[in-house]
Amino acid sequence: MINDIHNNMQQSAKVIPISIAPHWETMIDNRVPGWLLSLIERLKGLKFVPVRKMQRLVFFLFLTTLVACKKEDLGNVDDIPGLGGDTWAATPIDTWIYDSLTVPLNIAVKYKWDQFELSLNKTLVPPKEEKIIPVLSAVKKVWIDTYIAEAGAVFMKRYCPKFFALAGSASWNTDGTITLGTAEGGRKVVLYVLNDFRTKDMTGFQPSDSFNIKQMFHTIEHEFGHILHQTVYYPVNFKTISVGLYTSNWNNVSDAAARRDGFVTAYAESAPDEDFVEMIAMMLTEGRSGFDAIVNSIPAGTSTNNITQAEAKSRLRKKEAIVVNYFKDTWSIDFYSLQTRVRAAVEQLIK
Amino acid sequence: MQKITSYTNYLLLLVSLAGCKKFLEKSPDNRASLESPEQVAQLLGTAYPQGNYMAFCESISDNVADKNNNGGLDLEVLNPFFFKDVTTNEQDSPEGYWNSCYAAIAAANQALEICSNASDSASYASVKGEALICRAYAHFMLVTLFSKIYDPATSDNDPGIPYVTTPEKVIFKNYDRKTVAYTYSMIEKDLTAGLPLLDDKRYTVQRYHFTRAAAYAFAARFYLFKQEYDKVLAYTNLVFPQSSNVGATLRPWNTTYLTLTYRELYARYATVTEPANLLLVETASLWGRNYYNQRYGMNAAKRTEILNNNVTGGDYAFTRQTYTVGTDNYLLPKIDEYFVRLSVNATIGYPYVMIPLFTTEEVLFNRIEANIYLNNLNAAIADLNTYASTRIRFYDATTHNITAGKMETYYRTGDDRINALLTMLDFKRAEYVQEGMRWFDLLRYRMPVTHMTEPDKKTFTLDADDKRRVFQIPESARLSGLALNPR
Repeated sequence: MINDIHNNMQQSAKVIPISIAPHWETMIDNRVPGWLLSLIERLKGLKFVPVRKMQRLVFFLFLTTLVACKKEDLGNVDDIPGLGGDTWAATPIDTWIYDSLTVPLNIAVKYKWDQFELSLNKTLVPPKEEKIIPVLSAVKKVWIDTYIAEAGAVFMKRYCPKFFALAGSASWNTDGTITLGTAEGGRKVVLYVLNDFRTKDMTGFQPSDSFNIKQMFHTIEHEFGHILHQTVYYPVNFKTISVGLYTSNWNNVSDAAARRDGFVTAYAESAPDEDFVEMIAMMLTEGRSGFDAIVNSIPAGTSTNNITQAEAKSRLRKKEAIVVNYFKDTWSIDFYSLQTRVRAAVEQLIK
Repeated sequence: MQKITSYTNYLLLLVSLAGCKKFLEKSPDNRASLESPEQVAQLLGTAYPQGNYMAFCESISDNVADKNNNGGLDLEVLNPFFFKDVTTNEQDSPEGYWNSCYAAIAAANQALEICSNASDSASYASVKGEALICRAYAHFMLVTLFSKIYDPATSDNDPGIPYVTTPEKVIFKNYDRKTVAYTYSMIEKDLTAGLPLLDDKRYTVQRYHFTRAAAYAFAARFYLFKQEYDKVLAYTNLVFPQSSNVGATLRPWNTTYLTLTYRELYARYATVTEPANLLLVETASLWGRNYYNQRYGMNAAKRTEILNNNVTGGDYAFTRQTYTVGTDNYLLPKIDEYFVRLSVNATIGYPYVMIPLFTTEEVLFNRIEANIYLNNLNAAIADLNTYASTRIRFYDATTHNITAGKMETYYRTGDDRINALLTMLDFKRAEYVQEGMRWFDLLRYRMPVTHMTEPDKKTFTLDADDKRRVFQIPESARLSGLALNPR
């Protein structure tokens, strides 16, 4: 049998262990009337019902369909609703996306519910409407604007993913991890956990929320890192720095333990490619002094994998050097300057 | 002027006829005829089954689970997972493997016919030896997968597979399955006749042929299945001569392999320069991509079950070369695809993988098993320790030493020999994960297999005596008068 060539460029994802994930709020909020609650609980048992604000809608649709069963006339079958895409009157969200992302960068954002853009085998919820502009404008400030300032608009227009799909909750995996974002083929990026996004300007901001914000930027820098190295590969000697320590058991390792082995996060232990983009993401979102603090936080002594403090530090520094040189040689970007801009933008949102 | 032209033409015609003479002396029949031992040896390059059993063997085994992701649903993986007959005959299917085995047997038989007709049989001796072993191997794999597993009590009655000893020269020839015992006796006959004839020096690349060591490894496997453990011991000892350093011939998992990037390990695993590979064969197969990106495969739970614990108390080096593609698609970089494009600009073509048929690890495992059955527990434990010393990260002979007491604490069966057997089977399962070898142990020990679907948690069980433990004989084989396996 003749086959297609195998494309090794798989979907890549940013994943963290569940133990790190913050506590998720209960799915039901006060806008749901009390009499519906018990029904919703029962509906949730059926598993296929998207929860939260669609619940009422689903319930009424359910009633409507029962009514509709009586009719025998199928109506005009040529007019299939939704064929050719949904249409709706533009809301301020749509206008904002069009003006800020679509016109300058040709980026489309799908925030309305369409599970076919996500994973069909996961229980997910759509993003809250009020989160969409804050998240996207933050992403624009932290990620797009900084790259444009360093590398120019043409660079960003060429390489930025052209399609964003948004989900409100995280994507829970069976192996004890959650997926925060995925990148596919350099074109599409899915961002999860939008509903936990809260900047310091928003009501109910708590210091612990800064974790979620950093996580969001970390995810997008991570995915964009994948796109960059999938376009031009990084120097292969990067892979030999931590060879023999990569493991699929990374989710049982804490970030602190990973750092003692010369990895910037536990997820960096999963594979060389992830290691590389985790370096990019951590260095950008933590800033240069933040990264130095991480390196200097490695305690004295030897790790369980026989890595000394000096060795762990030197490995992180070697990786840092390769990342910085890669940005300079391949993309003509001054990484440290980019780092300063990104960190400044992040700080504006959390401090 | 016209005359001159015609004379010239006549002259040219004569000259060209003279040129034809030599050309016409050759027979116009351009089919290959094999006239020297070298030519027969070349034919034997195809006497090894160029099909891959890994996909269906791994998928029916207890090494896989439903990942409930949007992974591939190839029938070669999907059907065995649900213990159903595979309804395709492409590469990686049981039927495809059946065909590749009989193709190999046909090549061996063709070679043997020439050997027996040759006047100077002495110069054909080593070729004949290789052909006999190849014929025995292909039949052995067929009888293992398509007939009931050998059992001294029932094999005289269980239907075997046709043992073909002559080239097939008619379009439809009828064959008789006879019995498993008969097939085994024929395999043994070919094996013992072929072994003394082999000559390793004849091969250009030894690892692609039955060298003495590879043939001894095959003999050890055969007698293990036949439950003649003294012979297993004898043949394994021929692969590892006395006083040789067995550990040095195994894959250097906890040393060199941990210094390789995953691409380097992919490139190294099934190469001729890896001393652990005793016999390699090139197969047309999709397993190089399917072993991790199908829906039914090694997920996190199976990874943990197979690779994260062992009796020594140390960590397997395997865990530091295990990766995921996306989430939950776990893999060890073992099976590397070689893609042959249909033409220079094509993006379609034929995928191949090189697979190890015999490795030194299997020889060691077989020696351990034989020693357990022959009541040489200390020798078995010594070999278990040799294996562990090449597989455990930061191996320390004092802390990671395997003893009868340590195995009892881990397995708690109350029987040292059973503990040692379980240790060996778990080591073997981890060593060959994603290579389909687990199925052969599940067959021999009649271990039941349970698969559960996700997310609806339906379970499917393959009992110890389930009829579906035998892969179905291809429908097309009925044309040769074969009865299918009962279902």
